[in-house]
Amino acid sequence: MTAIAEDRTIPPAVLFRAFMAIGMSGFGGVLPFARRELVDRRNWMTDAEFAETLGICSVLPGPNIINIAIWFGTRHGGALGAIAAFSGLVGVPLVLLLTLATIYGHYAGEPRVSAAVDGMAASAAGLVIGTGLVMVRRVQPDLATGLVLLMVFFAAAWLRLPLPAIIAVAAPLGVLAARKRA
Amino acid sequence: MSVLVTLFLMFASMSLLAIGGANSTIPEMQRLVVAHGWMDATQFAHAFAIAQASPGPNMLVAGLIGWQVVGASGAAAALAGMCGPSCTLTYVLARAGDRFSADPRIARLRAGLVPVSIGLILATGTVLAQAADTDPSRTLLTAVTAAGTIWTLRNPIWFLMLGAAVGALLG
Repeated sequence: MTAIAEDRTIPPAVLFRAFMAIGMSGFGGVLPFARRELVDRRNWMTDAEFAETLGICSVLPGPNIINIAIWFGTRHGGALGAIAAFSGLVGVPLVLLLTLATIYGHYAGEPRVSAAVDGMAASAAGLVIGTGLVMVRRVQPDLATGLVLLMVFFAAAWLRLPLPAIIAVAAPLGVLAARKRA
Repeated sequence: MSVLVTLFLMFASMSLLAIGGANSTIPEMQRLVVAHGWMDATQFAHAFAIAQASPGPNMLVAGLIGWQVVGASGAAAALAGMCGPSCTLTYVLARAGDRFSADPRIARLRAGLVPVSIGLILATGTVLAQAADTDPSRTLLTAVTAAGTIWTLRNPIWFLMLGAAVGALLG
């Protein structure tokens, strides 16, 4: 069942507001809020449609959430809709971030301020590690998948190999491991 | 080559390699930004922390890096690289219709990329921790935040504020 027809037009201003709400609602990534806004609050997509859209958008190059904005905006408002969704998602948060960075730049010389940002950087690293471990728990990797994961981790964190090389080797291995598992 | 062109090309390639979100590309981004001499690892970790403490998509860190390297034009070049080519492709495919979305190869490819994405995200956390954890109190902050992220459902902003408070008190 579709929540709304695939070809129903949504005014660009409404798309802008919906994606601005998504962009402004999350710290450390906003993808979970996209589902809440598009599926739960606006009833624009069913859960299955959201999962399918996310599936396509995550194999396309580029940040997933940006691809979702472009995909959804295009489907429901053409080029103008895509621009509206993208601007809503990125515009206001960007202005906020650059303002914050400018304020920080003014006070970066203050030892207390730079110590606070040092502490925040330590926490931010912990957030990312925690997020990665939550994903490990959720996926419950088998031996082959786990080996691919560890290999990628080691290559990127310790060997500091270039990302294209890591992906060129690890992506086919990952697909092989997933096939074995299925 | 102009620094704007370099920023554009660098983030365009990041965008192509963003498997499972912008945070997967952080180790590569840090490697290149340091290699260009634009920032050191600590400055990069600070920029990342500030981007996390501000709401919005993770890829905004690209704009912040461009901003710190050359100002507004740098932010525009970095974001144009990060979003321009990939958005154009997504737009064209969204226009083309559903034909390929039911293709089972997409599901297989997606499943295969999961361990790559998780490995990269854990590498991101490790690389940032290496730069940020300059004394034991910081290492503890990283560990507490990681544990808190796993076992509680607190909004990330609380952990960032905790980090800032502990940092300011001990610093």
